[in-house]
Amino acid sequence: MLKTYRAVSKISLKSILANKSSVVILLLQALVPSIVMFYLWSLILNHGQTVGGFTKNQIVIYYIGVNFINSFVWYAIDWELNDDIHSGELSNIIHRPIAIEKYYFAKMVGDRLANLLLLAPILIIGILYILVKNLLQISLIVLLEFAFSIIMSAVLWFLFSYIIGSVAYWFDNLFFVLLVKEVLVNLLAGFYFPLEILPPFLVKITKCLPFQYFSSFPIDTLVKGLSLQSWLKNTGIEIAWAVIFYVIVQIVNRKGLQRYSDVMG
Amino acid sequence: MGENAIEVHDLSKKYVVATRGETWHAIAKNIFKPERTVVNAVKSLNFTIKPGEKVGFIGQNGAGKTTTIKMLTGTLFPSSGYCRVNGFDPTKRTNDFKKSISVVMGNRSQLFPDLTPRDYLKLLQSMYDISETSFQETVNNLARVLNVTRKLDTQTRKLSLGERMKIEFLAGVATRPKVLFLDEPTIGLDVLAKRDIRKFLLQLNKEEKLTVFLTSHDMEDIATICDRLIIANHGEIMWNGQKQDLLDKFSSNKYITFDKSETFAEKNIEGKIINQDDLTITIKVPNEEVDDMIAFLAKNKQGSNYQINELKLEDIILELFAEENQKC
Repeated sequence: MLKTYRAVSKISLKSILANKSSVVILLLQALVPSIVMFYLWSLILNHGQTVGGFTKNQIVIYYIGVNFINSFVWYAIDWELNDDIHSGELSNIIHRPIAIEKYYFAKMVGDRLANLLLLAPILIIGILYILVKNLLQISLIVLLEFAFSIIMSAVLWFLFSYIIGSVAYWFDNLFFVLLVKEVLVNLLAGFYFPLEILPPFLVKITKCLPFQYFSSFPIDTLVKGLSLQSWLKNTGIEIAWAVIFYVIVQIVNRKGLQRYSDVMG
Repeated sequence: MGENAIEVHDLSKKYVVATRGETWHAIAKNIFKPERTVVNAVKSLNFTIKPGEKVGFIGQNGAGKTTTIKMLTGTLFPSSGYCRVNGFDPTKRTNDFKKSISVVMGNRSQLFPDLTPRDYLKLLQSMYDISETSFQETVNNLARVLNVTRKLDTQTRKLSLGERMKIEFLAGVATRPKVLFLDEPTIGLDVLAKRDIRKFLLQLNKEEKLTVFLTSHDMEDIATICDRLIIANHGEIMWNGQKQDLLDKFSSNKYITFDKSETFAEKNIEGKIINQDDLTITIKVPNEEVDDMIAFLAKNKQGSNYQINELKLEDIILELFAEENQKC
C-alpha cells in the first residue's frame, strides 16, 4: 500500500514541476514577503531594541523561518477539498482503491517536496547568509528538534485543514469561510508577527490553542533555544492535538462522504 | 461472487435539494430556515445482469441513469433497497470491490492535464497492485487497438478530446475490471473516434468476458455495443429485455418520410405523424400498407421524394417514451 502513496506523491511532485507558471508564482510567494519583512524589521530594530523578547537578528530569522514554513508546510488542502467536493472531482478518488485522506496526504507530500526542490537554491543562500553573518548558533540536537517540529507542523496543518475543507460537505460555498480562516490562523500561528507581541492575556489564549504549532513553535525551537524539557512538553501537546484532529478527520470523513452521497450526486 | 455480475433490488435514491426564492424576504427566511425539496431520482429499480452481458441503460435527462451508476460504483449510498456488484456491497467501498470495477465518464476526465497518460497509467498500476510487466503489456496492446501508442508520452492537455477519451477507456480497462461502467462515453467525439471505441469495447467483451453497463444518449453506441436494454423513465424501469426483442416488437411498422407539396393537407394523412416541419413529414405506417399509402399520397399530390425506413432503435425508444408519457 505504501507503494501506492509513494506513486501519488510522485505524480503530485511531477505535476508541480511540469507547470512553469506555478514555479514562478512559488518563487515570488517565498521571496517577496521574506525580503519585505527583512527590510521592515531591520529598520524598526536598527538601534538594538527588542520586540516580544526578539532581537533584530532573531526577528529576521523568525520571518525567514515562518515564510519557509509557509512554503513547505502549509498546503491548501482545505481549498482543494472544497473544490473537489463541489465540482464532483471527489468521485474520481472515491471509486479508486485508496483512502481519501491518505491520498490527499500523499499528494501534499509530493507537492511540498516539489516546493523544497524549487526553493532549494534560495534556501541554501538564506542558510549561508545566516551562517556567514553568524546570526544563529545551533546545536545538532536543536536542529533535530527543529526538523521533527517541522514534520509535526505539516501533519498537524494537514489534519486541521482537512477538517476545515470537509465543511464543504455541508455548505455550498466555503470561499469566505476559508478566507477568514486564513487570516485568523495566520494571526494565531504567529505568521504575521511573533505571538509574544500580543497582549499577555491573548498570548495565554494562543498558547492553549493548536495554531502555535503551525509555525511559531518550530521557529521558537530554532531561535529561542528552548530547553529539551520544554520542547518535549510542547511536542507532547502537539502530538495530542494531532491525535484529536485525526479522530475528527475520521468522523468528518465518514459523515461527510455520507452527506456527499445525499446531496451532491 | 454469485451468479450475477450486478444485482439491484428495490434500489431508490432521493436527493435533498435546496431551493431559494428570489425576493429579499425569501432570501432572509432562507438563512434561518432553508427550504429543501426531496427529489426522487431513482424509484425502486430491480434488475440483474449476468457476467459478460453488454447492457445499455437508457433514459431521458433526469431519468436517474448517472445516479444509478453512482450507486453501483459506491459513490452514492441508496436511500433504500440495495445492490451487489461482483458479489460486493458497493456502500462498503472495500478495495477488493473497487479493484473489480472501472468507471469511465464522458463528461469528467480522470487524467492529470499537466502530465502524460503514461504517468497516470503508472499511478493506476501502483494503485491496483498489478505487476509492471503484465501492466505494460496490457497497456501496449490496448494502445495499439485504440491507435494511441504515440500519444502515451504526450502531455494530456495537448491531446484532442477523442484522444483523451481513448486514453480514459484504456485506463478503464487496463486495470482488468470485471465490470466496466460507462456514462456517456462518446459524448462530443467524432465519428472515427466513436467507431474505434465501439470496436474496442466489442473486442474486449468477446475476449475477456467483460461485463459492460453503458448509459448513452447516442443510440448508435447502444445499438452497436449492447445486447440488452434497460430503459428508465422518471426513475422507473419501462423496458428490461433483449435489444432484438424490442426491435421485433416494432418491426411491423415502417416510417415514410416525404417532402410536402403545395397542396399538402394534414387531414389527408391516415398514418400516425411522427415528425414534421414546414418542408417534410414522417408518418408511421404498418408494413403491409406502405405501398398503398405511397400510391394514395402520390395520387392526391401530397408530396414527393418518398423514403421508406425501418424504425431505428432511436425511433423505437422515442415511441416508448411517448407511449409512457401518454399514460401519465
